[in-house]
Amino acid sequence: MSRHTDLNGDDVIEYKTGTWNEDHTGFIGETTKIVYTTYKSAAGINIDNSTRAGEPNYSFKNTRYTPNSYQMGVYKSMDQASKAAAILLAGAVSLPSLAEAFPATAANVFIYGPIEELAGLPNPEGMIEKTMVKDAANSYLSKKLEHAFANGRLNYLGSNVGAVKQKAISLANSYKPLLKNGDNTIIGNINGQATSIKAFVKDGEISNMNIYPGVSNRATDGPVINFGNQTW
Amino acid sequence: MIKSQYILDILSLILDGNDIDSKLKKQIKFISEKNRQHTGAGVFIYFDHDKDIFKCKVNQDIVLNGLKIYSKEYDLEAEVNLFTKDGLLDYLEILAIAGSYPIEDPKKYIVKQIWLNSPNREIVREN
Repeated sequence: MSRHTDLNGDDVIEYKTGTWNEDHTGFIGETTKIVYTTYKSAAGINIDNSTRAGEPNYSFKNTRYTPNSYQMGVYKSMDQASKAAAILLAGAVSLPSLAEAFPATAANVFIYGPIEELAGLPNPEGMIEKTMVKDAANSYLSKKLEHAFANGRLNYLGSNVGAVKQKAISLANSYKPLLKNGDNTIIGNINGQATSIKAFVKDGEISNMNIYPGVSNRATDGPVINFGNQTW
Repeated sequence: MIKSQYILDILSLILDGNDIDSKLKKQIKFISEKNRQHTGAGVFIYFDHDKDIFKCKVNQDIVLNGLKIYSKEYDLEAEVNLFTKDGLLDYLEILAIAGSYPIEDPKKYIVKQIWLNSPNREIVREN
């Protein structure tokens, strides 16, 4: 995936799409697609309702829900874009809810989300075009977090590792205004067990994360944030 | 017995503090590496225990952190967590803060205590 500003000054995401291969690591029949997005800030939803010359299907080009993991685009009709925006704005974003909202033949919908979740999503009559396009930062952190799950020590957080990783990333992101460059420790109880989430911040962005069971009594220079009790 | 000087240095510094049961540090001589699990980003090192370790068993399981590892050899900055289970040293986790973690133990490195109110000790092996 690449992202750049095109000749018209539009923010452009160029991505690959196709049919998932068996282990969801790539596509068969890969093609390149381009998304035009008005996404400019770290929060909110933007809908670009202009029509792009030469691309009649883009009456509504893109809808993006930020700051976390979902981004969806709806094109072909205002009705579909409005429906998508309503779902996203309601804050009840889930892939099944999107699948339910869009009947099988209604729309060409693309959803950006964790590969692990996309793989398990009901996809009636191929309605949803699964893509590998995800929030680039979250995808990177998700990869880095694979380390934390390597020895099964986090099984108590849930059996869907992809979903657990996204929850951890979302939790860390929710405290982003409190995080400082360097090490940050986010502690609390998840599913009844003391848990530490480390967020390593560089230039204001979370560059790496770790999760482990237990909480150390030792404090370091970085902030320690207590998130209380959560059930995942 | 732990054979890697690198791992011994890490263990000796992370278990060096007034905030832990002194019996825990005494366990070092009764452990050996059972196996390693490299994840790309870091490594988990699991310990076997000699039977004599049980005289140094502690009552509470803890997680210890507060070390940083630096190695110019691998352009590495890493952090360390040590976990106990059933009162015994269970496994060590080393995670590269950026980039990947080397398969081989660094030969040239600095291990440094960074937790607040630590003795501020460090071990430098750069020759």
